[in-house]
Amino acid sequence: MFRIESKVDAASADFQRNRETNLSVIAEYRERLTLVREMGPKDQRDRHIERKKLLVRDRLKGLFDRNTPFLELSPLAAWGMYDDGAPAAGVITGIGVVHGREVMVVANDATVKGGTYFPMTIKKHVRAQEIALQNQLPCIYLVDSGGIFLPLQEGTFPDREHFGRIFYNQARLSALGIPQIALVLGSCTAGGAYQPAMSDEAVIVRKQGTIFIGGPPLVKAATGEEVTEEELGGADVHCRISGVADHYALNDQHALEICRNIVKNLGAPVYHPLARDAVEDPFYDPEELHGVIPANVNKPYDIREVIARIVDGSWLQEFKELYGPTIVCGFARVMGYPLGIVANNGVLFSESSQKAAHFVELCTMRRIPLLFMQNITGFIVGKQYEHGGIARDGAKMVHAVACADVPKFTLMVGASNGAGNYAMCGRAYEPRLLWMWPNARISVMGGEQASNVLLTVKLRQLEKKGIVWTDAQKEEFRRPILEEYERQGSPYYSTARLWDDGILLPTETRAALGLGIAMSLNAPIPETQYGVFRM
Amino acid sequence: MLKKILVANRGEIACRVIRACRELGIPAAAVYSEADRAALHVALADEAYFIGPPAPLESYLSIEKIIAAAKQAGADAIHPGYGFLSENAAFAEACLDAGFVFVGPTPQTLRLAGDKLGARRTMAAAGIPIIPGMSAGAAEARDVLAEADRLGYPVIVKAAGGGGGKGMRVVAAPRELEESLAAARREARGAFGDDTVYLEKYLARPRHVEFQIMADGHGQTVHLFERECSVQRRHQKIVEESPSPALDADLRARMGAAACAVARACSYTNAGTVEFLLDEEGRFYFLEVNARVQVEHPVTELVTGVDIVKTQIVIAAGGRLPFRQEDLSQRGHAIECRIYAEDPATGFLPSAGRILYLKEPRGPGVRLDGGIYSGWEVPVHYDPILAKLITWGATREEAGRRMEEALREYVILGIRTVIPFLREVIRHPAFASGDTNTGFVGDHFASWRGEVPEAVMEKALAAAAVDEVLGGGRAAVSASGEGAPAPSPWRTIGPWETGRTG
Amino acid sequence: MGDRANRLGVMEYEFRTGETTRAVTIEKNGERWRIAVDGRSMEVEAACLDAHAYSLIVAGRTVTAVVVRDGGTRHVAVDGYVVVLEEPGAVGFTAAEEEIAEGVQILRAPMPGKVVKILVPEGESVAKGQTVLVVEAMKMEHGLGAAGAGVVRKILCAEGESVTAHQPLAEVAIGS
Repeated sequence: MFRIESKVDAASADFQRNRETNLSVIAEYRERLTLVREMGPKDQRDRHIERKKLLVRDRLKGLFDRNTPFLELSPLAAWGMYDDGAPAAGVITGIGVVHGREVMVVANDATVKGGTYFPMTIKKHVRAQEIALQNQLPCIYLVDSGGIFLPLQEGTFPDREHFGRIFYNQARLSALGIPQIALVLGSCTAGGAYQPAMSDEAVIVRKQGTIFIGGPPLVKAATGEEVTEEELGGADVHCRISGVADHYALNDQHALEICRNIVKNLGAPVYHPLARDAVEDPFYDPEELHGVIPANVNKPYDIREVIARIVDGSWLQEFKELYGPTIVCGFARVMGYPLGIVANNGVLFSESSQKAAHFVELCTMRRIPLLFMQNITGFIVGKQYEHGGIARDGAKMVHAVACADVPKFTLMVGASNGAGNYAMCGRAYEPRLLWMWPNARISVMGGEQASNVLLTVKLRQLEKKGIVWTDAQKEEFRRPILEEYERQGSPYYSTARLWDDGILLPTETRAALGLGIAMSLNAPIPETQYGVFRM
Repeated sequence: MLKKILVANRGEIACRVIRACRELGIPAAAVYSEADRAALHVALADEAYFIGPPAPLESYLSIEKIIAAAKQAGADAIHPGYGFLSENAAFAEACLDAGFVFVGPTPQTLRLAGDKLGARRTMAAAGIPIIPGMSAGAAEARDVLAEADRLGYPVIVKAAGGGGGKGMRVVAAPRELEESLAAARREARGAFGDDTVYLEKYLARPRHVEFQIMADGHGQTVHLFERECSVQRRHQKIVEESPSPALDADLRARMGAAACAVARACSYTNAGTVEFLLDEEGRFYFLEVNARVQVEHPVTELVTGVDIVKTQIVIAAGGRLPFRQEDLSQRGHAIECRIYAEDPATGFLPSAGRILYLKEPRGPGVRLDGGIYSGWEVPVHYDPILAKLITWGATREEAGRRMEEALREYVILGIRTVIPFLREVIRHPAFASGDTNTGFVGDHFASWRGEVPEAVMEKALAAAAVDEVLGGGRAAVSASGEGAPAPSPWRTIGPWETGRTG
Repeated sequence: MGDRANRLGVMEYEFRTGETTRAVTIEKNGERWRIAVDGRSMEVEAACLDAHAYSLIVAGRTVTAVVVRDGGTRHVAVDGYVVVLEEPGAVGFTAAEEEIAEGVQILRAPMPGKVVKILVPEGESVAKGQTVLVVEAMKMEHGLGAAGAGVVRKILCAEGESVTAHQPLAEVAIGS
């Protein structure tokens, strides 16, 4: 192994400027996170507490082992959506530790519109189940939800990835031996009733949790029968009469304790035996990342400076260092775990694509997890390159990445544009976890390029009609496009829509990666099968 | 010399005797009950023989089983240690009858020492000062009342058959006498099968001073000076020292002579102890003879340089005492603390359980006679003494400071011990000035609950927190050679959360 | 090295000693640890001596401490003192304690059967665990007992009566 030799000058004006910009970007992120973590409006929270219910974050605190990490997923889901009425999309998901075991938690927040499901709530819930499936994590559902948010039924009800998928997933996960545990801490109405009912084990809190297919108003309308919620589907009903729930809890704390006991008795998980070294801090201080990351996302820099501040001891065993230098490939360790790193260091050429495909093959053959670090504007364009078969070589890389069945992790550290997003294991390529740094940008191409392409097309149309635009008119045409790209390219736009699993701070990347790899070892690393590589 | 010695005891004294045997080149055979298979004395001995269930009556107190074990071992001598059968005349007799050497006095001496009234009569006849009182069993209540009047209150009713606080009643006024007499009789009958009781003048706060004596079978009797054993709780000694701060050369000489006279009066052979009570005016009274090696013998060993246990064996083998009275002198000062498995904060209730961690003190002048090890489960069936810590110094002050330091270093975790209490005793101004008597613990520690000072508590909590974060490295420390793989970051990283912690 | 270097955030612990519960936090601060006991903070340098013993340096003063864990109990030796710390217990409830929390215990028929004996009449006091009535079902007798000391507030059935499962048979006011 060779230690990366940093060439960064922490005293330089560039470094200081970068640092200032990045720290202000991070400060904005932290502000937004703090806002979201307050959850629903104050009156709703007060009402919740009055009813002797724990707030959702306190529930998580009571569920998890003390002093253990919580890898929260997409905390800024639905940011800027639904008139900002659904902080975190009204559900908290993430991986935590119960009796020493990593579990996936999906916890409704009843202080956000009664815990009802917005389209992004469903997406977040389903994504959590997907991660649980890929990594074989037991699922714990803290249910406190009024079901679908009725005003938005169009985006929630019938489609493949809509509300129904949640129960489909529960059945399929259970069938694979992945435990499904539900805690009924509030309403489980209509479709929501299936959440506990579809679970392997369900806990319900007396005089607080209810499960019914149709609530009292619906019953009254349908049959004229007058019945209270508790009589219809309270804890006594379901623990003593119907058998829909299995454990009777006196309050939230009790329910959480029962849940912990259930997890304790699940049996020991079998971890994939990934050879692990002693943990070593990076040789270069991760704090320096703030000065390393350019203030301007378009400015090229050496990605090794980033790698050096994330991996153990800043050691990197580089592969094909001198060939296809616009991509950096190499073996490193994070928190002691071996990792193959594929990181952009410029535009993708044929050589760099082939190199990356080769390296991905090495990792899958050796069953070593992969980390993709995206800072990519795309594949090289031009006649020479098309003739040289850039599409063929790009396809090789995309093929290798798509088929690679080792745990994959993707980190967007800068730009993520075009097919580069795909080749570098974008969302569609099923990385186990995908994070964005707050400074990253994601779009089909850069706003500059997009506006120029659209302008060229427009000018050609106008030319046919014999119209010629002034420079001012051209600028007028481009500005809204630029603005739209700027808005939609923002990590907040991405994370709001669950295009990623959350925004990650540069300095916490190392810990998150370590946790991610450790989590992925709950599932065995299988042999990878490739299809036809275009040669 | 003897060929093999069976050690009919357990715990620290069995370890002490086994070490003496091995030093003399005599193989030592241990005995053990079901509860003691893993006890230290078994591991230390050359041979070990099983003698039955944990209950003492069915093992360590069974004459039959001990004799059978000695026969099985092919031993030619039996060392009884202290406690158990050590002062049982019938046992000594059984040993002799079976052809074994008994390392201790003759059955006759044991019998006399065990009979309080008989001993009082014998000593009175030999001109030894005894505590004013009756020399025969109490009969008519009227006579007893008259005797009590003559002695002056308070008086104490004692059982003739035994000690240990049983059948003992302090009487402050005439109206309590009759009832106390009856109660003492009931207790004595229950405890010793003999309801003979008698009356003595009660000395309120005497010092307990005893003399170590040794006598061979060739007519030589010496004393090895005194031990001061005034610091007691529940009539049991807990701190002992030699010399006594209360004795001057003259008094020491007179008491030493009296001790030898006592020994001769009961034809004493081997090692023993003559106990006296010493009042504030310097008057001393014969209390009783302990016809065995004492728990606190090490303080005498450190001050005189004599190995009492080895000498016991030499004498028992028919040898002569290797020294004369004039060869003996006291050098420096020694203090012993008995390390009991008791919780001093709850009135010295025994505390059984597993010793989770043991770190014994070291340093100049520190001796540790122990019978325990880390990981050992202290059985509930026996005396809760774990070890004895003895320090020696050129002066009493030096011995005391060494004791204080040694107690500070001494770590026994898992069970409660008297160590923190002992440290307070050693530090106490009254102890430091040598002002001790049998009321010491009651006077100075009646309300002692073992509170931990806040500063110490904070350090303890800090240490517990450090253990929480570094305890994960425990596996790495204990794993041999190759570093074990580090545990998952999920268990080691701590309360990390996205966006909260860098 | 190793895990130590990678421990992040403030670890929070609670320990019970006697009647009091003490809060301790610890976080890494460079090569040292910042430890706060009930909010009072100290900087501590720590070295492992063996699997249980630590040498600490607190404001220049050395402290040797031994910590042994035994289940939820920590035995700590420091400065010649022994401190026993307990982890605060988990919330321990059983479903049967449900009504007790409310002050009223409802005795219910465990299954369909017949009330064969009412042992404690209405208005009389009961001791914890005392059988209030006996139900025979499937040729087995089931005694229903009070979960705590109290008074039988209501008898809701009669001897010889057939009852259904879960049917309330008596109410016991606990603690009255």
